Amino acid sequence: MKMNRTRKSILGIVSIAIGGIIYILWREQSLLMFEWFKSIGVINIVESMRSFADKYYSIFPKWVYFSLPNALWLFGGILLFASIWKHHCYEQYFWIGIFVTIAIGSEFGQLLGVTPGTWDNSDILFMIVSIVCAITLNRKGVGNVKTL
Amino acid sequence: MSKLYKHLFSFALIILLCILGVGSSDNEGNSTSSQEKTWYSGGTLHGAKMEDWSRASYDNRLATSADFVTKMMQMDGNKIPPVDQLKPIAQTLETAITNRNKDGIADNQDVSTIAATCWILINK
Repeated sequence: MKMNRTRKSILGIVSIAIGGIIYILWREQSLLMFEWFKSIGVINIVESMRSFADKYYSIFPKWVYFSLPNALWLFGGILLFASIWKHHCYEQYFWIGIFVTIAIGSEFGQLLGVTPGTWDNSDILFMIVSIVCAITLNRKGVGNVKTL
Repeated sequence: MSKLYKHLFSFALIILLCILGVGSSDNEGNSTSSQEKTWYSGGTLHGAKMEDWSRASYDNRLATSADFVTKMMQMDGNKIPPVDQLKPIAQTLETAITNRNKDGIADNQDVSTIAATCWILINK
């Protein structure tokens, strides 16, 4: 199936949204986003969603809660940049490169104690898998597809 | 869409994605005076495994360590020090517990067991 720009952007937004939902429902409330939710007055809604989702916490393996959201964010971001630019153009590689550098750099920053968070090998592994998946899907977008 | 608009759109997308990334990071180092007063409250890792400890926020680990310190001081028959004197002890215990699980070697062990072991070693 050809991955046209619309499909790429929808898939990108959906994957970022799924990652965000995992964070909102199951991650610890010391995350900065919960301060933002308090500021905009939606923390009560978020807390009721979290209390509903709490009983489902144990149904997924730990990596779903800790490593997958970041990988989905990276995967979705790459697809969104790919949807903006024509395939194989210099600009597409430039912006995807910047984004991937920020993502991987912030992860290594955790190792060095420069950026907040906890370094974990599985996070990097998931990020690499997400980059490979996104680039593969992006390349598929220019495959020879017969059109009617 | 012209290239200029695409560049502007890409720049806005980078900013948006970075904001999302920042939002999913811990609220550490952003402590207000009210948070400073309550650094010892809200610890939830007393019954957790070390795997959860290693992935939890620093605030949560420190607050849990404070609870461990007060509990173990009580058990040792010592007087609980004021909060400002308790903090460096809790920080020492937090570091000791965290260092015990480098490379995930103690992932399946109880935090409380590791805390008790570290407490004994610290007080040796």
